[in-house]
Amino acid sequence: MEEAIRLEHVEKRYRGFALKDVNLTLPKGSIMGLIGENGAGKSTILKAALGLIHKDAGNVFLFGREFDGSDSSLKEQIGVVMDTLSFSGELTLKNINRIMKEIYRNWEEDTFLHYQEVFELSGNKKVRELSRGMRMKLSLAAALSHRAKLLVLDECTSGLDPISRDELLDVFLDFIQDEANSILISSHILSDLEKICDYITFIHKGEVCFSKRKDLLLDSYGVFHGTKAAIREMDSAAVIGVRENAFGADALVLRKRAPLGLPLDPADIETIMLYYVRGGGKR
Amino acid sequence: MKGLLLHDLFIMKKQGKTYLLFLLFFACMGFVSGNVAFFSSFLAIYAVSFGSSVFTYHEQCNWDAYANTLPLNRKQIIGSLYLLNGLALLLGGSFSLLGNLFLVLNREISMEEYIALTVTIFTVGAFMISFDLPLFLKFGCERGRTIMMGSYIVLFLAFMIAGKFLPGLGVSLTEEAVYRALCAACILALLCLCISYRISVGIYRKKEF
Repeated sequence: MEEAIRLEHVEKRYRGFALKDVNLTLPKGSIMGLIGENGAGKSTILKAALGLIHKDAGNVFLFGREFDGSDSSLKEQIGVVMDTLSFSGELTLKNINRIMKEIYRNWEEDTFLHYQEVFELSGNKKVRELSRGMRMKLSLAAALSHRAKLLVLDECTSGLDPISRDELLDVFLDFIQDEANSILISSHILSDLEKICDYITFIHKGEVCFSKRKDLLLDSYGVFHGTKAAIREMDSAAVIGVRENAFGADALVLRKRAPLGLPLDPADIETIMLYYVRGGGKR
Repeated sequence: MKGLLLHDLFIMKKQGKTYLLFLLFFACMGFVSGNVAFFSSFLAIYAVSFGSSVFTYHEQCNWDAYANTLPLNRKQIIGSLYLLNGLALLLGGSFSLLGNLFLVLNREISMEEYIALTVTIFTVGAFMISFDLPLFLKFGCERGRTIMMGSYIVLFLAFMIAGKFLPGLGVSLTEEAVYRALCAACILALLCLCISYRISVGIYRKKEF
């Protein structure tokens, strides 16, 4: 299986926070969603992968080659959209096109103009005159216009209306039609990730709780609604997290370890995440 | 590097128009006040501050983080900053050259004095770039500007005091001594630019975005 990106034992320490032994692999032709609460370390992982911060340990591999942020030939193949707009408000789309033409060897002006049209962005408007949604679309247009093989997207759909988000998700799915292309996306909007992702990696307090295929993940867990006593009787290895309520308790349970015939509701990504974070979840 | 330079020129376009207006204003002030030498020299220094104001724009849009995801290395990013500031100095210096040429044509200063003035302007500008850029890279825009202004005030006072006390110490500056000092300062300025560039690259290499 060819990989687009692989992080091996990546660590980064700050005062009061640390990324610990982060391992994840994004196979080529796939979309991986990075999820986690605020401050979990999603952006730190993306920055470590892009070489924007200096790692304390570990290695990053892009397309099978070790990457520390300095290899321009590898950076030619990456399109990045950050959570804040990276273009000055003084620039127009025409300016951005001219700038990128000089920076990227494979810059495709026609593709950029195509996305400009699709996203309904005016070439002469200054960036500061664009709404947040339009700025994100502009960043994405720039990321998609130089034959990138890997898109790294940090909270790029946050703050967008449902229609804009849906538009962008369609663009991502279109991008991934080429099996050589891959996407690594971090987002709080789990319903979006559930729609498009093949893999989900959950980060909690700087550690990877799981990094699995989405369909396997969703099939692995179920939610049991019952009493605390019933949950206590279960195999402790089956119970990932427990949340008590006025009527009893709910538990996130591993289906393969749960008692046969136990009624379980399906668990979506948000539910799984909540149980890991607030239900005393075990890894 | 062309792309980076284009980026900076585009974002500074609006401010550039303001700077050009100021340059013209200072030029006119020089002629009206009869102090062409002072105002024309000031133009070059003012132009250098234009070049370093690009840091404000970069910080506002977190450009450095994005720029480091583009197929560029950190040396190129720093190189483009020095190039931009060099071009700004060239622009301001050109206005100075024209202004001071007027003095030569009017026989207010000799050709030798004109050359000495020109060399001084570009040397001082080069020293300023050498000092300012690593400062802004290390401390950011706001703190960097404060440290820069404080340093220049201290330097200015030091020169003023030296100017008052040197004659009293029996030090007199002959024309030859001045020209030799200028040549040495010129070479030192070029050396400082090279060292400044290396320091800036070193600072930028360690930065995290």
